[in-house]
Amino acid sequence: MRRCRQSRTLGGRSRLVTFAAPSDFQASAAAPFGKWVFPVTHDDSRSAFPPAISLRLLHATQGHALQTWYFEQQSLVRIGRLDSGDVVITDPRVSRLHAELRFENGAWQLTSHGRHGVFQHDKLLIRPTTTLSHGAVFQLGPGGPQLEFLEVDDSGGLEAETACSTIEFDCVDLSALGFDKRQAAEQVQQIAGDDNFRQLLERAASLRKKRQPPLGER
Amino acid sequence: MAKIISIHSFRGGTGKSNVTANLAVIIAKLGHRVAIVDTDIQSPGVHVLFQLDPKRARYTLNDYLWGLARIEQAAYDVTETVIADPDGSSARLFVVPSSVDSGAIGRILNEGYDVGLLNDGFQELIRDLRLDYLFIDTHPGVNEETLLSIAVSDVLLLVMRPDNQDFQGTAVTAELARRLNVKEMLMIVNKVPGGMDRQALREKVTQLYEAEVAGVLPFNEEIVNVASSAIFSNRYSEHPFTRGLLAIADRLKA
Repeated sequence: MRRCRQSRTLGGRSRLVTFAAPSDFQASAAAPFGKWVFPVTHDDSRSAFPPAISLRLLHATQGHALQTWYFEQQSLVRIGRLDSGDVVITDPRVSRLHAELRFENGAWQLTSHGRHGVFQHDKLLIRPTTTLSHGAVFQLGPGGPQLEFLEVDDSGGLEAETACSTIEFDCVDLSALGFDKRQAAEQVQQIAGDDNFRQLLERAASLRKKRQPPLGER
Repeated sequence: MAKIISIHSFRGGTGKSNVTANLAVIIAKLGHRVAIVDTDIQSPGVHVLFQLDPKRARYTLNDYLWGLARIEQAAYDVTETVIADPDGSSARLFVVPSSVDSGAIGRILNEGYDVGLLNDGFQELIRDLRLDYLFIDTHPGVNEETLLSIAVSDVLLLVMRPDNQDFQGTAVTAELARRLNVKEMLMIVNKVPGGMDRQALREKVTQLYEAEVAGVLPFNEEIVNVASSAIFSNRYSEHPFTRGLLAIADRLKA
């Protein structure tokens, strides 16, 4: 099984947005949902007011989203391996700047820049630029990572969807993370309860006095 | 006055040395004089990140601890390796490596070393190299030498991964650090996988340890690509990992 790891890189101003999974997404994927927080990039050119979109990196065989990027009020989205891009995918089949999504004349246009091209339905896109509609899936390089393009209804604010696979990106349940407080207290007592530790404390105090210049002075 | 910052983790593999090296570079680049001392004598690693070959280094920290050299003789100026165009800037970065020679490591393990002497060495470095910041990369786990290094520091950075073994061990270390009256303790969660909510994790760690979380840093492939051969923040200046480190550096300067 191929593994892709992605990272999200910001340019310009950013903020954190919390996403919740919408109902239509639950029907389409069997992956568990978590509440995610991830960054959103803002483009300063707000005059065109492009509609909010999201791009979902799809699992190669199972088709569910491994990672979702969300863009609003941004008319240019750069996709590639370069970490200065908006959608960063580390995969050898992906070029440094593989493709650009640009909002022009009221539509989202995909332009291929990559050496390995952009594919749709296993066919290489021959025209350099193609218009994407909601739900369009395109592939970066032959057999490469697949992205799904979605126009997001942002009338309800910043609700969008994300999900992650149980196989590659577990939505880790943070409630399972923690430590046994009683056990920790016992371990501390074992170390700190004896004479050696008391000597250590005295030693530490005398070492501190050797600070040059003494603490609090310059 | 120079700030002494200890970086520690309960277990190995948390990325402690990598975090140390990157923070030191970031702070030096702001025009400060910075040194890193690799006190992880049993498993030294910081030198690799600065392409410093300790086999060719005439003196190491071990030589200082054995009375064979002054500590400044074991301090190597790596400014030009990691900071482009340092001329005209007051930025300076020094590294004091530990020996990678197995005999030298074995000798320290058998004989131990005098923490008082090490502490004197820190003070000499601060004075003679006119340091603004001294980073101490410690050996993982709880041992006397490490606890004393923590005790003489102004700031303790505790690095851990988001797993229960690290959480448990870090709880013990954090409590011991408190009993040692460490002046300031900051937590760093490193190697956080993509499916984990970093903000929720930050809140969780803050609450569990009743301590300030200075950074929650993502795990990703780029780090693996450059790991142990270069300074990540130099190469990926806009990466979330680098931005997390910048925030920690800001906090350390406060």
